[in-house]
Amino acid sequence: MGAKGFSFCAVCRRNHEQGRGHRYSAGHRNALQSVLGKTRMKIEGVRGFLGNPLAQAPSHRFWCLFCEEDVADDQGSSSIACSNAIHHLASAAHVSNVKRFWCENGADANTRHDFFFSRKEIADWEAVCGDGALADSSSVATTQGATENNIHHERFLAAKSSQSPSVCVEPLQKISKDQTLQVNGATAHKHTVAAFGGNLATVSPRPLVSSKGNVHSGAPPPWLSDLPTHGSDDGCPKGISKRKRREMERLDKRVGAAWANRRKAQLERDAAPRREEAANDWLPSFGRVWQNGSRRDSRKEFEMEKKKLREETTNSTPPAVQPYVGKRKHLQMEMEAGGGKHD
Amino acid sequence: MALLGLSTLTHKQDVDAMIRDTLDKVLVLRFGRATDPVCMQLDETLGKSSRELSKFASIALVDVDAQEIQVYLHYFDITLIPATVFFFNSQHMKMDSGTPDHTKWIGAFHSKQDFIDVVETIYKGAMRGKLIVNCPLPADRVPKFELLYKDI
Repeated sequence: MGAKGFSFCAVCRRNHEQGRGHRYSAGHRNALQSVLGKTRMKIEGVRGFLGNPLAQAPSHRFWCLFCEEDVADDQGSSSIACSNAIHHLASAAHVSNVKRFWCENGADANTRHDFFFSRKEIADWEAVCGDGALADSSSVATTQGATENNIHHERFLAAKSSQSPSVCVEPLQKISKDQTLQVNGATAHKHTVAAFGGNLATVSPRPLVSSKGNVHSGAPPPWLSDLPTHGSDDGCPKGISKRKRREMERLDKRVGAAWANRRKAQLERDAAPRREEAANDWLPSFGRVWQNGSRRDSRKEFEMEKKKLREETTNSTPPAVQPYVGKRKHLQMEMEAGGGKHD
Repeated sequence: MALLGLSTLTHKQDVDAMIRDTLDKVLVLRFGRATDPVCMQLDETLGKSSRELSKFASIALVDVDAQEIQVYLHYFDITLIPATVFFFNSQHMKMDSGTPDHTKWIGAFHSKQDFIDVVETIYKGAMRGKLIVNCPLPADRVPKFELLYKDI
């Protein structure tokens, strides 16, 4: 085994000692695909300005993955949109860094040209900029990914020459998530305004005082809103170990399994009455403690003792002791008593 | 609809209790009106199949005209009736039937067997941990409707 040593992969962001074979691993390929996808999107954004240079563009910055540096275009620094970014992506240093990245990471060679601008593209762009044929951002909105071959580009050039200053279109602005949700101070969410269903009747719900969201916006459901507080019992039997409990929870794939277990335990607790104190004749369900023997023997012994105790407490007076009288004597006595009566 | 053996709920706490206390069974809640013809057709289907599904499903009817039920109409964004919503262990179950709305079934079922198949699919998906399942019915058996959303 050769001494490969550890090396750091910037795409996977981890150290490995697989050497050059690391670039063929599945993890590296997936990471590479996602990283290149993101970079491609950023470069396509700049490519849009390549086809339609604007005089005033919003400030634009991105991190160049291949050169490992920030490329920024501040608003107002140049009269041409994204000029820094375009120059960078066309520079010889960037192109060589892209080639080096491709060699090191084993990406697909057919896609390499998407990550830099060719000399022809730059030449055309410079020609357009040099002519001074630049439109204000207020006249026409740009389209992402437009190139000089776009038929709209010719129309755009024609329109710009006879542009009217009264047409004013605001440039596209990035709306943050908070802004989309806050409208007139109230939280807004996706809801139905009209419904058509053939023979189905429509229902218009009475307007609520405060709309807290709905199932489309992922709001908390109304049946769990006013829930009574419950104990920490999660429904699992107490006698099992933590590992076993985790294993049971992992295998239990039912939807809402944890809720179901908890709720079942709660309902059982509410339904079962409080257990009474143990009666005097309660017997534990194990065998003899002090002697060897089975449960049957200990139960027999217990019952005999109980019987003795009962007899002692109930029989306060001893039974009358009578002499033995035989059957013949008994019958004779009865006949004598019955004959005496007849006489 | 006591004749069909299904209870009609008009109070929020009854609906809440029904959803919270139906454990390890699919809960089917029909939101509609007893006087609407399509609702009546659906109610008959539900009533007839309730016994066969009793082992793994519970069915109840909810009156959309009750005051306390409006919060549910808002939450589920119900604009067409009858609307059938499915639950399992207090979780709302969604079903992709090719319609614009996956959160509920709108309209009646073509036959009792269709309803049984749908409930069975939801139960199987729920026991496997799926919150959204694919509808087993062909597209011509699914009632068509159009919804206009306002997405702000």
